[in-house]
Amino acid sequence: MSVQRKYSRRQFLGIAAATGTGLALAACAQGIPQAPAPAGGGATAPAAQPQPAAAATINMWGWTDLVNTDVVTKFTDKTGIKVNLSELGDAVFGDQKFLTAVSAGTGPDVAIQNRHTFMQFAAKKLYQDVTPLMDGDDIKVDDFAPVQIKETMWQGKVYGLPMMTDVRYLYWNRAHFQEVGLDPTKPPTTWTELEAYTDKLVKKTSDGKMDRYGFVPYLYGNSWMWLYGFLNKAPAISDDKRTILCDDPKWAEALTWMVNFYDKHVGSFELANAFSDTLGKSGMGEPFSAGKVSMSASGDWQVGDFLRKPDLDWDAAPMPIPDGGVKSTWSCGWSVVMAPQSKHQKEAWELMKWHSLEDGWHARAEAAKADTQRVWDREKISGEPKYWPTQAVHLPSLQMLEKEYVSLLGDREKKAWAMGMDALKNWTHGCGTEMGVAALEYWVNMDNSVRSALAHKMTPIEAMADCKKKVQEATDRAWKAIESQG
Amino acid sequence: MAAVMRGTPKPWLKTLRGKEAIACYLFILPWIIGFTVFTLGPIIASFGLSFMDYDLVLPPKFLGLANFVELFSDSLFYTSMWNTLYIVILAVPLGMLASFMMALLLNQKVRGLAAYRTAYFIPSIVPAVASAALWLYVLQPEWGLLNGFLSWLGIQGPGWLASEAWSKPSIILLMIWASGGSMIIFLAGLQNIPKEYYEAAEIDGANSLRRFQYITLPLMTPTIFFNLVMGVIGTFQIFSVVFVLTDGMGGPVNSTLVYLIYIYRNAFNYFRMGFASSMAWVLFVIILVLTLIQFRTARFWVHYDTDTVEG
Repeated sequence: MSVQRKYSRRQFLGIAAATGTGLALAACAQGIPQAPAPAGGGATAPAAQPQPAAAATINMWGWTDLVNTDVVTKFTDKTGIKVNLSELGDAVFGDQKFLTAVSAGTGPDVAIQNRHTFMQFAAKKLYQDVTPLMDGDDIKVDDFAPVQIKETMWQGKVYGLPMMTDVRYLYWNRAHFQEVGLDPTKPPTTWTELEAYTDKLVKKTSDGKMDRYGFVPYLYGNSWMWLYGFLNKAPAISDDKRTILCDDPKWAEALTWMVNFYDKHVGSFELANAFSDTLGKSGMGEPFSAGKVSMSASGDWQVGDFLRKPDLDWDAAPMPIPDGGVKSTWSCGWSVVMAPQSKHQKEAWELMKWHSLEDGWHARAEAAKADTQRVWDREKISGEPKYWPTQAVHLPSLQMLEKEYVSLLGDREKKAWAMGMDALKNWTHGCGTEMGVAALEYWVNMDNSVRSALAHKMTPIEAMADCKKKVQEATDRAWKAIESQG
Repeated sequence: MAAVMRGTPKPWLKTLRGKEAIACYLFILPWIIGFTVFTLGPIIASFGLSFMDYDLVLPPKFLGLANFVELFSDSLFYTSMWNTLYIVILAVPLGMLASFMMALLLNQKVRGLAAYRTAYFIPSIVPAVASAALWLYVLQPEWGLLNGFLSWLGIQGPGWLASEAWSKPSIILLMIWASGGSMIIFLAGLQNIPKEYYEAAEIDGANSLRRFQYITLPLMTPTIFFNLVMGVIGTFQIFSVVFVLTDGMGGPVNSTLVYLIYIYRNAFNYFRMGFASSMAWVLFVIILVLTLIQFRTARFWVHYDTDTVEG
């Protein structure tokens, strides 16, 4: 192991590190102490010469629910390649299972990975470069939504195929609008209007308790600070991914607005949190579906939930914009990668394509549609099941989904889908490209800064300066490590 | 073990004490094997890694004391240390008080004693994840058991885990609930006190309070001491319940970011194994020092009943 060679002179530390690395990895992965060297060497070898197809069984770490199991079964039916599918575990906050296993040389052939930490993992060669394989099959970068494919690239090479994504909108409850005398066809378009509408829509019980919120930024739905920053034209990171920009005044400005919004229109963060927690734990769902907040900033996937509530009179529009702001949203999602040690590149590549391209998406949509039917039966929802597809990243797959599935839905859903397509191509931000090589640190520290400001423990400017300090340090460290690989 | 055997030749082994020693080592052998095979290596490695930069992927790089320097200038180190101390300072004494009282009650001769003992002991053997999941419901602000009970008394309960001010007390409550383990040890200690002492005191006219003050309490000090030391060591390493209660994030606003959660975050979210190792060793030193202080001060208040304890 390179560890040993490098530090043989420093005897004690050498022994400690070498024994330790081996033992620690052995303990984690239940492998053997002399597990092969991690990514470094093996990973860089591109899969230029795929091995001939044998009756190999390949390992995939992903999701093991009914839909995903079905997608993989259909792959085996079609190609004869057997897949041993097992659960990936927590893949949003760090991908512990994948990283430790790959380091120990016991990783899978194929894995699903999130996109916000994709770049830093690719930079460390934890994924195989699939550019030659794409060229071989004439799959082009332009076949994918631009922001999302960029997130799976590092220094001009593609390290995985983007699978699915999302975008965030403003949803509003038309019945609530009507009830308080607002035009149900006209959502707020500016932050000032958003505040005015919120005040009209709030409803309290006779004893002064909250019965219905108007709008709760950040906490309800799925918007995080990122959405408000991007709407306010706040830059997250420099183009070379080296300078963190959360100390840009545009962030503090957006955060100041949010703090004031809570003080004026929401009241206690804790109460709002408890309110939604109560709804969730009593089975009423998230606040907007439950009719307990009139407007919500959330992802396109929620349309699928709303369709299960035939009485919910919702509509969707782009988020309201602040003065001097810009129509905007953000996207995240999942990609499929080949782990560095995979010995079955050819089969692994087939499985990757299945998860990203049209045929596989067709299989996924059929499996998800069958699942929708099960939900309708189980929850005894009246009417025909309505299936809302997850957004693919592969453009021909998106067209196929639109033609075969979205076309069966109502005008409102078609409009929401079209808005999503427009956003994907023209006005969304990618979580991966915006967070750089210390993505998780950025995510966690941005969130802590927001919570500190909302709790009035720091001013928005202090909070964002704190974010900058911590994330810049982490980014500098990450770059140093990346560059030390040579 | 080897030293013991070399020091005393065969005849010793045949004595009762020798046989007991062998039995003792045989009983702890599985633990020793497990420890040597699975834990000792990583412990040594973590010491080496605490002077290195290591992300599991690239080879470790020697940094000298940089991890420690960074640690002591990291505001979250102090936040996490404060959160942990807060919990230790409140949870350990309160937990011991509660479990001591429970032990006293369960040491009485009443009907259905076994059922009571089981009921009080069960929380301590429920896996941490399960009990934390359960407490999510107990602590639910609107209709949770606890706030339900408080509103019955006319008190508006707080947001518990959603509240920065009440999140740590929530965890302390859970820990007190699960202190059945030390209760069992207290109970064993109570039953170890020879009945003759009480009989003699009763004949001398001591009432129950006096008997508690002059017999039970002094003779229980070794047990109290044991529970205190174990409690402090264990509570400093609180992890699972906080991880489950806060989705691994130590929120809200880092108010439950205990030391081990911060180690975990650095190791398995940020993959800073070197930094996390240095944190672990700093914690080891802190616990070591506190334990030594406890042992040093023990002689002022811990009384060993020399008849029953080997001198």
